[in-house]
Amino acid sequence: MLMPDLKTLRLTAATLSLALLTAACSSSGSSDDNAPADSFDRAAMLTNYSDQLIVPGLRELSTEAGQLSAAVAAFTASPSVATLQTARTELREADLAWQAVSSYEFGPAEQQMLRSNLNIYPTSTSQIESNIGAGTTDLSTSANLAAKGFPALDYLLHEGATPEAVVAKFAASAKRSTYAKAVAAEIKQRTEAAYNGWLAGGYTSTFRQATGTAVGSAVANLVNQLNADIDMTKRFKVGIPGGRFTAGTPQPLKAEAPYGNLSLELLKRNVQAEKNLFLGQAGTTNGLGLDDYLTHVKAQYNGKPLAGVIEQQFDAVLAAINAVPGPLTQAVATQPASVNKVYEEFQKLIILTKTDLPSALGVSITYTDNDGD
Amino acid sequence: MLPPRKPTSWLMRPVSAAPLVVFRVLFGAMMLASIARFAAKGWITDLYVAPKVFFPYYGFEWVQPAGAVGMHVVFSLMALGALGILLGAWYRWSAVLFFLAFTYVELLDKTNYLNHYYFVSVVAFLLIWVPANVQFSLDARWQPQRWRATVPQWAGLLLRTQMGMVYFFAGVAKLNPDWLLEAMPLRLWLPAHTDLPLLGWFFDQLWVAYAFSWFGAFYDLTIPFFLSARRTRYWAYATVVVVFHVLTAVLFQIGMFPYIMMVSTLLFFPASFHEKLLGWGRRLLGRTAATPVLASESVFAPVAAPRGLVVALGLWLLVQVLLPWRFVLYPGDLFWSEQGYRFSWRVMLMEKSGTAFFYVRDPRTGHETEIRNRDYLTVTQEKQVATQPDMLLQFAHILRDDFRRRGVPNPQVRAEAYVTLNGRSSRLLINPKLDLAQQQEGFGAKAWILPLEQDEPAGK
Repeated sequence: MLMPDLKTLRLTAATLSLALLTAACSSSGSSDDNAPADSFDRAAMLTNYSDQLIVPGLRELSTEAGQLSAAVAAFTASPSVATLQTARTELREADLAWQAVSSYEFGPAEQQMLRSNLNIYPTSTSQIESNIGAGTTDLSTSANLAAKGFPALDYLLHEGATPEAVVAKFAASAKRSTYAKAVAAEIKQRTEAAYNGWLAGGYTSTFRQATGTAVGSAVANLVNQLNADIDMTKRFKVGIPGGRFTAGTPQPLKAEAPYGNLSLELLKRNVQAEKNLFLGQAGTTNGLGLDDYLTHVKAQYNGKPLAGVIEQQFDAVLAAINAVPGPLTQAVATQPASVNKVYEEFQKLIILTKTDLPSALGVSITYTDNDGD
Repeated sequence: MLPPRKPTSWLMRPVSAAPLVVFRVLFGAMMLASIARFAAKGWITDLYVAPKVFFPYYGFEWVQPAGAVGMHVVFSLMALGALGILLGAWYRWSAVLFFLAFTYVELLDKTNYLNHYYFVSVVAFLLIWVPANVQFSLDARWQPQRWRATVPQWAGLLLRTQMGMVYFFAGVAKLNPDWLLEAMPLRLWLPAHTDLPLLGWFFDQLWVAYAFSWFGAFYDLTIPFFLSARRTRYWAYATVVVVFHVLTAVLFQIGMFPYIMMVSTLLFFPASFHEKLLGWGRRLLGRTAATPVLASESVFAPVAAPRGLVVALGLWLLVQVLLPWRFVLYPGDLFWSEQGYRFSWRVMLMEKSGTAFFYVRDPRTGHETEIRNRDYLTVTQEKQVATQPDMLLQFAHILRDDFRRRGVPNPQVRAEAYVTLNGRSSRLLINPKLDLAQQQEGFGAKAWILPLEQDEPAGK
């Protein structure tokens, strides 16, 4: 047993008074006006996200997916240039609706694994053709992840010298029609399931009640999935086709939707959606979002409000995309500097969103539960 | 009490064995629970089987993971060791087994470094040398002649000093401008908890972050002394240890640490308290007597320990006192460069995160390829690599070796790592042009770490 002697007590007293003295000195010397005025209404922010951005976005996606599925069915029932054009239009609209919600991969969307099931590219044309040949329509196996979703339909509906050539392929093969219908039907089924999960499944209240910023909270999900999405946008939509990961050799066919030449339009919609997520913006209405939360905690970046710096960087990315002469599949070879510029603006954006943003909000960038100290 | 006439005889003086015995039982139980929790969460596989690469400590590169089956065997042996400690069965061998298994796992990957894991390794090592099995143990039941009423003074003192150092150095580490003047990083962490019932609004107030920071520093610096003094002990334990650790358990994701500390600080309680605990324990097990039937006068003489051991353990404590100060040998900001950061009880001191882009260049063609970090690293590894220069270098070497294997004779590796520390704007951590493939790891200062501008306070 240690002795509770006078020496110990004196030492304790000395330490105590030293600490108090230091406290007094430094508190008089520090002037701090960074105190948050009043509490930030995180619940209102989450309600804005669920009611104005996520649920309407998923509703739009499942509606568009339904129309896509119907248009593909109509086209395969009577293949013609007219029905093909309708199917192509619906594909474009559904794919654009997907870009608007790809950031929200948690809860029902994560259960449906929308990112993997809807949009793995480059699509495997050989796997698609062999599936068609074998009459395979079970798309649930992991081997078929790169043979379905929007990229597969982009290939099936667009690959061919002329629309007539595409129509001819379908007219000649019932199996091809069956496969395209199965692909469109799966998109419809999964997007409907994700949408219903937020409504009937009750995920809306789960989301709003998951307050705090720990792993699994709504804010952590938003921040982490926003970053995961920006990371994928940068890498798959720009970096890989631009040759960033292949020592500078462009890979045009690895772009998103290369057959229908939708790459740039999808990219732009996706970045706009990521910006909207950051701002909490639905249409032209700017509600409570992560930017307001940053403003509330007075997050600074080199003397400027961090929220404004991030918003400007989103705009810089969008401006760089606008400066790329389309289509992307050609620009990567003929205008590499313009594509590189997009990539570089993305790098700057992701440093801010992945490093400064979560740090300022006390959100840990992690996808699994683990201990810290 | 009187000051000791001869320090060695004072250290050898017999004192009640109860505190040490109770600590042994509780520590064994906590470790068993920790291992079960670790396994139940699937972390054996996630942390030690699934990763493609590992980040061993400098000088311990030979410590390699044992594969799926092997790692589960290691954790089973670790659990067996913890059980042996708890029951006091083949106690010393159990302690050795637990220490080796636990330390082996910790040495595999510095990604998973936590002060509390280091604390467990240190305590397990010390348990090997103290006679914590002289009572309430299977050893004493199987061999009644090994039962003792007392242990020498040094045994309990050793563990209490080690415990005290953990708190004290955690407190010393808080005496820095970020913590005291800017309330960083608590100012960033506390507002995340405004949704807690009743106290929620409280965490959005800046003064609360300051109050917590100052209280935390004061608490860590003084608690060893308050716990040592008879008059303040119970008050300190009840209001402070429990409140402090429960609060940290609620607010932060720190696993078993608060509970381990709450149990370990009982070591500071007097022998009478522990005798009572052991009495309850014996009644629970249906054992009546504290002493075995074959009592003899030998039971009141403590187990003898070679003087050399006591000296060696004294040296151990000296090393423990010096180790946290090694950072003064390195230039630059400690939190920024992390040179001399680990093994120093620096707990929950910084909000640091980063994003690192790695590039490998083939000098023959001049073409540069960006690396997808996740092709090599787990999420946690990627996160740690981005902010710790020694891990950045290790990953660069992993890339160099991988590209060599794939037929690039002299790959050049560089990294752009942007890091934010305690709310400062993110900036480059290391020289982004430097070829890391050429750099060597060592104890020397890393000249390629860029300085953190000292004139800029946190949070800007």
